[in-house]
Amino acid sequence: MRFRVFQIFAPLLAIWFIYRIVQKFRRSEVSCSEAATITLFWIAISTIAIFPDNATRWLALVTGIESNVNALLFLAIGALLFLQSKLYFMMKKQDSIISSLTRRIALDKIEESGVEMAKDLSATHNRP
Amino acid sequence: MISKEEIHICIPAFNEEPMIACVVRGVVNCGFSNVVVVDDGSTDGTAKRAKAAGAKVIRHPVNRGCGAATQTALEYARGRNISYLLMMDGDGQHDPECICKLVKKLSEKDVDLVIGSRFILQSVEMPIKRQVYNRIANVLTNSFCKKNYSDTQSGFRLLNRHAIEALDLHTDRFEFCSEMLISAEQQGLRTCETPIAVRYSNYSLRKGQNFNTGVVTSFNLLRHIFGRKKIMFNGAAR
Repeated sequence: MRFRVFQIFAPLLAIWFIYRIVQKFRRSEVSCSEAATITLFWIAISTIAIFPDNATRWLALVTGIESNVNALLFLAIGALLFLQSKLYFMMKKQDSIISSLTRRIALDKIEESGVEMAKDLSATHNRP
Repeated sequence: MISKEEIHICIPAFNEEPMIACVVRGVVNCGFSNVVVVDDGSTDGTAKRAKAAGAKVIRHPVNRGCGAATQTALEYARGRNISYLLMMDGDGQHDPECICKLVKKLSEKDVDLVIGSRFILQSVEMPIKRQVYNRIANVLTNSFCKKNYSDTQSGFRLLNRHAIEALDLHTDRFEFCSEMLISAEQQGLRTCETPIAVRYSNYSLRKGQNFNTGVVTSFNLLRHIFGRKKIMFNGAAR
């Protein structure tokens, strides 16, 4: 079996990223599910790189798409759209949280300045 | 009879340094002493000018949008047990003399929310583009409301205590105008409109929404409405 450049490069890259993610997991920087997902992703990339025809043919069989190239492309696009929409909703949630925090800070400042003014006023009244 | 002391005037403002003092003084000169400016992260001297003119200033550390500023005003009103809250723009568009019209309407009709409409009086001189944008916004908003409002984008509104407590707003930008009406109807609040006069200047015309922001506002409103569990069309749940 003759290996092309990407069939060597992609698995090496995958090994590097899997090593990195295992290190992060050991340092508790990522959760078990995150580590497992990223590891599976890079294993899939390596498998497709090493066995491009067989892997994509299997993908086409599973998805019911005739062309194995199209199957891979549609899967990749679908995955990207899913991640994009996830990021979008996360961003909107963060937006809402920022607004709530902004409101809380603004109203707390008003409360503090009201308390300080009341203290100053009572100090003025209590002066002999 | 509602006294002027019971009414808190709230002015959301973003970079309104040229006009804010004039607006605040105009309101104070009409006999309303409770003026609150919600400074939405202005980068100019809006807060300073508003304070110097006699307003209480609530300052957002960062700009979040007029919807967010309105929500801050509502939360402030809830926390202080404010009986009546009037919202108006900080660009000098709204005539403070018209506040009494809204107050009168609220008392006469015994409603919870009065909207000052620029379109009931046919004599309003509004640029054609703005009229078109407002009409489009009306069509969009009214499709989710039971009533047919003539000015869904008016920032001149008077709320009573019941409305202040009941309104549940979530949008941060210009879409809050529509959201407030839709939310008001869903909460069972009684609403009505009253005609107001508006003053357009080169300054105020530069403010507000343009075509691009209108498109984004419409999209945000639809996203907010369809993102909720129950979708209401013409006030009826589906």
